[in-house]
Amino acid sequence: MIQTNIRNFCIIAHIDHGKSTLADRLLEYTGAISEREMTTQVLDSMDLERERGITIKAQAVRLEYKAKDNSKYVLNLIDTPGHVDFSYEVSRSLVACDGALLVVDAAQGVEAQTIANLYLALEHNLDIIPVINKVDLPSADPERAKNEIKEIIGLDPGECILASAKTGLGTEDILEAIVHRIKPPAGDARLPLRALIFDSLFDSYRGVIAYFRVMEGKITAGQKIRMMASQKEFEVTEIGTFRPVMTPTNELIAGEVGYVIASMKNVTDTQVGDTITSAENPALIALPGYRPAQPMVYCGMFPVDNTAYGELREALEKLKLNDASLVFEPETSSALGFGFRCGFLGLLHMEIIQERLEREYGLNLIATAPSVVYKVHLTDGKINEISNPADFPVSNYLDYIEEPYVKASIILPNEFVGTIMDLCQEKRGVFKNMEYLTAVRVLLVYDLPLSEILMDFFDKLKSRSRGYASLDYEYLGHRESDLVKLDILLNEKPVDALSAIVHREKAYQRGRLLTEKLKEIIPRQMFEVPVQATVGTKVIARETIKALRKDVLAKCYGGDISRKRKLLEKQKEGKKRMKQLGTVEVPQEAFLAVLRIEE
Amino acid sequence: MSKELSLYFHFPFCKRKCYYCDFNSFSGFDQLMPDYIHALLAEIKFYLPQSGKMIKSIYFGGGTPSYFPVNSLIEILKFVTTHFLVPGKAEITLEANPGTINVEDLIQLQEAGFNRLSIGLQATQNDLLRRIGRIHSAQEFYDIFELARETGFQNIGVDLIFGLPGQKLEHWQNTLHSVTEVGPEHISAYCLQLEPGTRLHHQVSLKEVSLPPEEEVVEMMEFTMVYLQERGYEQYEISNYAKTGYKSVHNLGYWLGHDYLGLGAGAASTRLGQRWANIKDPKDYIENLKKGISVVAERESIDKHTAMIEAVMLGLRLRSGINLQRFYDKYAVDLILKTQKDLESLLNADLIEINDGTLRLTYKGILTSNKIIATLIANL
Repeated sequence: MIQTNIRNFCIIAHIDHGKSTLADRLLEYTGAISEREMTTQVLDSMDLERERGITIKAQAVRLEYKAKDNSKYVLNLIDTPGHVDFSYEVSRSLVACDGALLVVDAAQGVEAQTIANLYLALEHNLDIIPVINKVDLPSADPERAKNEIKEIIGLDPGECILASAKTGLGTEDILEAIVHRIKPPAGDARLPLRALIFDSLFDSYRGVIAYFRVMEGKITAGQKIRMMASQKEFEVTEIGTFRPVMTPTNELIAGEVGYVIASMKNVTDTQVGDTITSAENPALIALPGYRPAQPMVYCGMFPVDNTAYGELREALEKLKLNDASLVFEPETSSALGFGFRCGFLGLLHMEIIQERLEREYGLNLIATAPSVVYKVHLTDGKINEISNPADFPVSNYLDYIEEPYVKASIILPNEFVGTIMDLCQEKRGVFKNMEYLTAVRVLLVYDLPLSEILMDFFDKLKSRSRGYASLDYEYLGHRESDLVKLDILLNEKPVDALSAIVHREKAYQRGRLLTEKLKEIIPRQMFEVPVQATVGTKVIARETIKALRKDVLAKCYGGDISRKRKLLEKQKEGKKRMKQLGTVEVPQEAFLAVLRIEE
Repeated sequence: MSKELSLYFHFPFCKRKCYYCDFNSFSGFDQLMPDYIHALLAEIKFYLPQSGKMIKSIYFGGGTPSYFPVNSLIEILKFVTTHFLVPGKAEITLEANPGTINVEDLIQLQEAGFNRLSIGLQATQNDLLRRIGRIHSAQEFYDIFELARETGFQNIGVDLIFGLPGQKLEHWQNTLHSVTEVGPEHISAYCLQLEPGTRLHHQVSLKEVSLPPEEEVVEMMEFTMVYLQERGYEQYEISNYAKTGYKSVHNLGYWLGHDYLGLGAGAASTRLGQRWANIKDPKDYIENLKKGISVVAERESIDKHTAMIEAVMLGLRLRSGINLQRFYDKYAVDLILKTQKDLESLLNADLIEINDGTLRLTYKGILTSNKIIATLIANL
């Protein structure tokens, strides 16, 4: 393939702005896939992705397009994850591209995430083609969208392509623009091999399949390769391209996008961002930008049925095969038994893993409240990173604690600015900037503790702005913060699974909400049960679950005995599904409910 | 194995079904009553091989047995006394509704050998009685009670219910006062159970009527336990009180795990480690017996472990409690050891007590007896 006839591009879009549908149209138009084969949205192949309308794992597809100038082009579409949790993966996908379609919903306009990804794209010097999608909708306002593209992004509104991925309008214009407005890949095919891994997946028959873009040099079937970060070497058994099914080939040169199979057993051998080079003639330095997967959010996951611990381990290990960013280690809780402390890229990643464990592996799980990673500075100068409230140090060894902050960019209609600023304030936000993007759209920038975003920030943001505000955030670093460990005591005994690390000013409110909620959920017992929230030895909130007053069967004669016995035995079964904490029986829901506390 | 046996006859017909009742009983099927008596006689004949057993007690329950013509009730009793060993001291009870019985009936019943009446009164306030669908007034009860005394019934029990819709603590106190003034030998004071499928359940779910708040019902129950003991009635079971020597022999049999045969539609029997229950529908019951087919609808083996669980469940209903040594001798299980973890907290909370080698509920524990029993048997 001649390098000048290759175009590598991605699509940047907010959720629901039509990225996958547009990709489908491009596939259809270029004949990569027939209409009949389409189950709609070919790129999002995971069930969950389709249901949630988001892309979790990046994918790639090779389109062959005969342009109006009669030349044939190879267009590699690299799909990017569409969520802030996966911003590192996004950045690696963008590096593999030379241009991007910026898709904006004609009715919704530009959203925070679109901008965040666009800035990333511009940082990597990508050529941008703005596409205004869904122009066929009655609510479409392409002029407003054009204006926003000009005002907010600074692109020439004349360059915008009006399209409807649903009807196919504008598809040819887009393909022509890709050919003419995106630069061909650079990179010398004679240099030693350097290929960027932008995704990988595990296939139970073939091992790990790594997706890459050759930046320099070439890769051939049978060649010995080396992963520059992990330093592992493999022999290539197959390379190929996506059409969209994997189609083997002999050689891929600089600028091309493809896959490699090389008896790799584990996705951790082929981490996103790593550089593939030749084992015989290695490049001197790796491609820039690699960083190992860094979990930002942790939670404990425990099987409801304690005997399912082994199954949970197996399931996690299977998921890990496909997901290098998932980390986990065994954990025990006196309340919940044996389970795992799991680390995720973010909240969505956590939800996805939980959902897959429950749906694909049939596990019934209790997850503890998500926690960020705190840096604990001890008086002896040591620094511990902790995510589990159980590891919170006693105060006499504690010097100070740092928690992760993010820079949050919120784009919203100006009418909601006041209420959203209040929200950011409540969430311990530090105001950084406010900018009128257009006469009616505002960009708010706050530094916020990541833990607050984990709580319920996003839900609140959406509800208080009636769904109009959009959020993007990036990690800023750890900052010192006045944090305490909030414990919950049932009948005077602490329940480890209900402990949380919170800001001192939030401890009272949260303690009160938690105790109230637990009072509501925990059924009355035979004894009065005090529910207390404490910080250190100080009780900051208290509720009392009154003792059960009356539960008596009036009659039990000959005909009732069997029925009554079975009823009591059923209660015994129900008891097994309760967690016995000391003398208190706590239903599983209690552990779930504390996650859904609304502040 | 006990040589003694109790017999229960079920009469699933009522003039009108009370709104709270979920028993196997029907109104509007009066035309079936003669056939039903024949069916009962046919069923008891199956048990003639058991006729060598001593009959300790006989109980005619319902439904409303007194709704049947007296001669048919007597016919059944005669059949039993003729074919089984029924000692003169055997307790023979008839459940009676004050609205379905008169003085002639009482004379005949007494002469035929019925020596105990169990009268369903429920409350002494007519508006409360109407609200739950009772067919009689308080006055009808007083009249029948007096007549029963005059005709020679020296053992009379009265059934009462608290927690009725519209009932206040004061109503209940008045009911207990009036009834103890009349002075039956036995009082059953039941806490109303709202059962799914009943008219009352429907009314409550539609908010047409409302039940007294839990706290008030608790007060009623606490009052009952104190008041009736003061008036000379010993609480010998969660809901049952008797003057000395007048505990219900028949019902004690259930709680002590003795064998019994139940005859009639829906009646249950327990005998030699087996439990079975008859078809509930009186029509099917009659038809099967006409054809000579079994009327057993369900059957269950009561193995030793099940028997042990029932012994705990029933034994704790009794104020006499569970004798731990006898329990150990019978089931080879040390109840204290086996339930130790929960027992301690129950003892500390004063819900249960162990005295003289006997485990029993405290008065406080009676109020939450279901939960306590469930907790204990979960260890078994």
